[in-house]
Formats: sequence, structure tokens, C-alpha cells
Amino acid sequence: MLEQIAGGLALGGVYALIALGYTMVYGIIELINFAHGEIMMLGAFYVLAFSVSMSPDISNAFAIYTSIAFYFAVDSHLNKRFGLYGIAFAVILAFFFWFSSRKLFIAEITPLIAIPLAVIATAISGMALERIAYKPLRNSPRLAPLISAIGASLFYQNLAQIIFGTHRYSLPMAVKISNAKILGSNFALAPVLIILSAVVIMIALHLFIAKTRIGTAMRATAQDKYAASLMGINVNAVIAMTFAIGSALAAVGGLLFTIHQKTLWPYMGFMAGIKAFTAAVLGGIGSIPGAMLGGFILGIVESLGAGLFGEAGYKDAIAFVILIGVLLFKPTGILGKRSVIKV
Amino acid sequence: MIKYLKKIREKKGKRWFALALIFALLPLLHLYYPHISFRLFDDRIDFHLGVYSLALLYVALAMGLNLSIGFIGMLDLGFAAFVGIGAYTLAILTNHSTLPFWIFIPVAALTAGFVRMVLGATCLHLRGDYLAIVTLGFGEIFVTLLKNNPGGLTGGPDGIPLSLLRLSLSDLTRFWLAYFFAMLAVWTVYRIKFSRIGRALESIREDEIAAEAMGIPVYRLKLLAYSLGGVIAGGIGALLAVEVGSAHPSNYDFFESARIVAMVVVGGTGSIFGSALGAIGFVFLLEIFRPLAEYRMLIFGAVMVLLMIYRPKGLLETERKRSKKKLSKLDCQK
Repeated sequence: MLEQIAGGLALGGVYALIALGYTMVYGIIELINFAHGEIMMLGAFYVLAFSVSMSPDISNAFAIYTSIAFYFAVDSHLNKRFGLYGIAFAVILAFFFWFSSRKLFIAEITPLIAIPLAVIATAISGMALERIAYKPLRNSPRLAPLISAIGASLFYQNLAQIIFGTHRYSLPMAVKISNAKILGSNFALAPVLIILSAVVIMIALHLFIAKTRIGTAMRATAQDKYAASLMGINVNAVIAMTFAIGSALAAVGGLLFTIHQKTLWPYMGFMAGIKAFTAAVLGGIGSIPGAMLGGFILGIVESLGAGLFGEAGYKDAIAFVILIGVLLFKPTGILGKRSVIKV
Repeated sequence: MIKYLKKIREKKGKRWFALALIFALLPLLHLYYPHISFRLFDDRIDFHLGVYSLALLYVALAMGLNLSIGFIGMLDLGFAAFVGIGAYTLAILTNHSTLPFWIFIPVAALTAGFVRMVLGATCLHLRGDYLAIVTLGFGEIFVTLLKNNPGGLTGGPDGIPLSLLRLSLSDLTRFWLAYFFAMLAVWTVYRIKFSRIGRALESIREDEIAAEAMGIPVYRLKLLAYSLGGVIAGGIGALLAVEVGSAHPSNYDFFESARIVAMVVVGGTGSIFGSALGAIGFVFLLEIFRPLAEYRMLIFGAVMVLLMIYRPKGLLETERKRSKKKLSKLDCQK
């Protein structure tokens, strides 16, 4: 029972981290970012690519992808007057050569370098995604960005499948962590580590949004984009920043998910993404504490439910049954604001 | 291309007739050229009757979804589940009885319509994206149920094969069946759109509160349009299962729903002709991309993104246009 609750909390922490990305993006531009699960998958694969030496084909393909993403990310976030295009190209070239000739350097870099690198690269991917697929559609009918999100999700899934193949990979550090035990070797380390890191990251995010200038700008933009732009807030930069932070959280979520599941594979983003989105809606979409709460509730219920009903395949349905049940009685989620329509 | 699209946008009545005629003439074409094939990257692409009937069936599905997305503006991400309900109803009933299969097509349609009515009656008060996620959740629950084979009915992850039934019908029979039902669906939706109910639905889409104030029974009409979409999905889903030759859980997952949503939106939300074109275009494009193997869905995703960026309102916009948006939303991002 205790093991199950710990496992549920760990899974909940992962869902919550991914759900934060959904809810932040939704809070600012009212878009269901369907490609977010794929961004999380990409984050896990970045950790893999940075910490294990892959075959030259794979690392070349990944390097090309990263370079393109980096180009668009720079295009989205930074103004041209900074003259950052030159730097961007330099970094792209550096990335490319580093990836393709990394055997000249060290065979395996430590997790302490690999994880931050992967987080940054995923954040770049998220910004590039926003720049390419969502920014041109900001003033279009609401369904247009949704369709382009689904298109982007398909694109990323198949890109990962082409680059990495369909089989499952295992991440050395994840294997090491998930085999480790604490407390006199009868309690697994992985859930504790996952919960701790999820909670630390959430507190950091809360402080970031509540205390910093950028956080304030984000809150202002979420309330009213037009008024925020009148106050001198660069709305485009704030939106790009939101995507960057959401994707960075997704990368950590992906890593923790890999630790939890012990493997990673190109389709892992879909189900985890949908469930994280469910968690965000459960807590009230657009609300950051709601996403955390929804994630933890979903994780625990799913873990306990799987224990109660045996290991049947109905596990995936539990989340959605809970969601429908909650929405029937509380139509805007647990912590969501009741939207009052004024005539 | 865009010029041509504008041209057909102006001729509303005739373009339907032209499309129906083209599809009615396809069997004739098939008589002389059973396989229209050309080469792409050292691979042959075949256009044969099966592809045409698939296109027709997807046209009908797009009509069914258009009833909820286009007419009342409710995003539905679990539409494929209702297609699946129709398919599985037909598959289970034909496996357990000796009656001819076409009797079960209306049964399948009504079953799916009923389930959708029940779902709609409980969830239609939810707004916007909350409704979307509930439909998505329903779709996922449905697929999970199918995979777990409750009561030994659904055949688990392998689905129920219908290849015997498929072989018992000739290509031409299946084509005309698809043609008949697609035209029926299109005609129904067309008649609804330009009737009192259609105008009422449109007013609900534009402003629910104003519509209610005008005395339109909002909830009832929403439920009507929503469950009618289920009826269409069920009937066409049964035919689609026969056409494909099996009822398989993976045919009714989220990506199938997303694909049908994309057909409607790419064609032009609310426009009947547009979503029909969208459906035909999707089926044909998927067929053309087939030789690209694993690159197919990659390119397909990219095409979806690009299409939305360059024509965000779809290939054909809705005929009656929206009134101008509020000023504050318009200016801030440009």
C-alpha cells in the first residue's frame, strides 16, 4: 500500500510537471498545446542523446534537428537588433560539429552536464514550435492553432520514430536510479527522488512566477494581452518564454517519467501528454496550483486503481473516468475559476 | 489554385452537383482504367474503387463532425469512438446472427446516435475546451474497453475480422453503398443547414446567450445536432469497417478523431462543400504519400501545420461570415 501510494505520488509528480506546461500555455494564449507530450518525449531523448554515445547517423540527424530548432527559437524570442543571428549560426555550427564528432571528446558525459543541456535543448524546441506552428496563427479562428498543434504532434512523433526507430531504449542513469534502494534496502529510491525533484521544481516555478519581473509580465499577459502590451511588456517574448519554461519542465518530466517507467520510446509522449492534460483540466486549466493538484490526484488514483482492479489493462481509462466524473459536478475543474458570462 | 477555389466558392448549388456527378462517373472510369497508377519515388500509387469509396465515407464522416464543430462550434475530439461504436455493433451482430448485414447498418447508426445522445445530455453544459477534453476522454475510455475485450465481445487488441463479409461484396457494390450513404449524409446536413434549425444552430454558435434570449431552445438543438452527428458516425462507421475489412481498436483512437477534425477544419469549418473537399483531399493525399513509408505521417503533419499557417480559415471559408471581432483582441498582436 505504501509502495503504491509512493509510486502514485511519483507518477503524479511527473504528470504535474507536464501539466504545468499545458496550463501555462493555456493560461496565456488559450491553446491546447497537443504537441507538449511530444516535447516531453523529446526531452527524454535529449537526455539519452547527451549521456550515451549514439550511432553517427542518429547524432547527425539529431544535430540537424537541434540546429533548425535553435534557428527558429532565436527568431522567436530575441529581437533582430541584438544581432544574435550571427551567434545563432555559430552555435548551430558548434552544435553540429560537437554532435557529429563527439567521439573525439569524452565518450559519456556526466548526468550533471547532460541534464541541463537536455533541458536547454528542449526549451529551444518548445520555442521553435511556438515560432513555427502557433505564432502565425495567433489571430486566426481558435481551431486553426489546434489543428497545427496536432500536425506538429504527428510530426514530432514520426521524426523521433525515424531517427530512433520504434524500439525501447534504456537510459543508464535511470536504470541505476530505479534499481537503488534506501532505508535499509527495502524502499525504492526512485519515487522519493521523483517526488522531491518535482516538488523542488514546482516551488522554484512558483517563486519565479510570483517574484521575478518576467513572472509578473507573464501573469499580466495571461490576464490581458492588450493591456500588457500597453504597459510595455513584450508580449511575443513573454509567450516564447512561457513555451521555453513549459518545455523545460516537460524535459524534466520526461526524464522523471523515464526513471519511473525504466525505458523510453518515441510514442511515450502521447499517453503521458494526454493524461497530463487531463490532470491540468482536472485541477482547472489555466491555474498553476490546479495543475499540480490535478497531477498528484491523478497519479495516486491511477496507482491505487491499478492496485484495486488488479493489473488489468483498464488502468489507462481510470484517469478519464475520474475526469468526466469531476467535470460533471465541477464544470471548470477543482481550482478553476468559475467563468461568468456577461451579456 | 486559390483563384480556382474562389471561383467554385461563388457557384454554390452547381458545385455539389458537379462533385456528385464526378463521383458517380468514377465506376465508369474504373471500367476502363481499373488502376490509375503513377510512379513516385520508384513506387506505384494506385487509385482504385476502394480509395474512392473510402473518400466518400470520409466525406460523410466529415459531415457528421461538421454538425458539432461547424454548426454549433463545439470541439469534439472523440468522434472516432462513435465511428467505432457503429463498426463494432455491425461486427458483433453479423458474427452472432445469420441476417444479411445491411439490416445492421441502421442499428449501428442508432446505437452510436443513442450513446452520443447520452454523452451529450450529460456533458453539453460544459463549455469550450472542457467539452473537448471530455470527448477526448470518452474516446480513450472506449479504446481501452475495446482492447480489454469485455465479455469476449470485442476481440481484444486484434479486433474483429470482417474480411469474409468484405469479400462477399464486390468492389462496385461497396462503392455504391458508400456513394448512397455519403450522399444521404450530405443531403441531410445540407437540408439542416439551410432550414430553420440550421439558422438556429448558427445563431447558437455565434452567441449562445443572444440565441437563448431570442427564444431558441439552445440545449435541445445542441443535443439534436450532437446526436445526429453520432447517427451519421455510426452508420458510416459500420460501412467503413466493411470497407477496411475489420473492426480494429487502433482505427478508432485519438489520431483518427484528430484526422476527421483536421478534414473539417482544413476544408473550412461550417462549410459543407469545404469539409467534403477536405475529406477527399486527405484520403487522396494519404494514398499518394503511401510510398514514403515512415516519412508519410511526418510529411502529413508538416502539411497540416503549413496548411493552417497559410489558410487558417480552411480552404473554403464559411459562407456566412462572422461579424467583425472585438477591437481589443485584433490590434494587440500585430
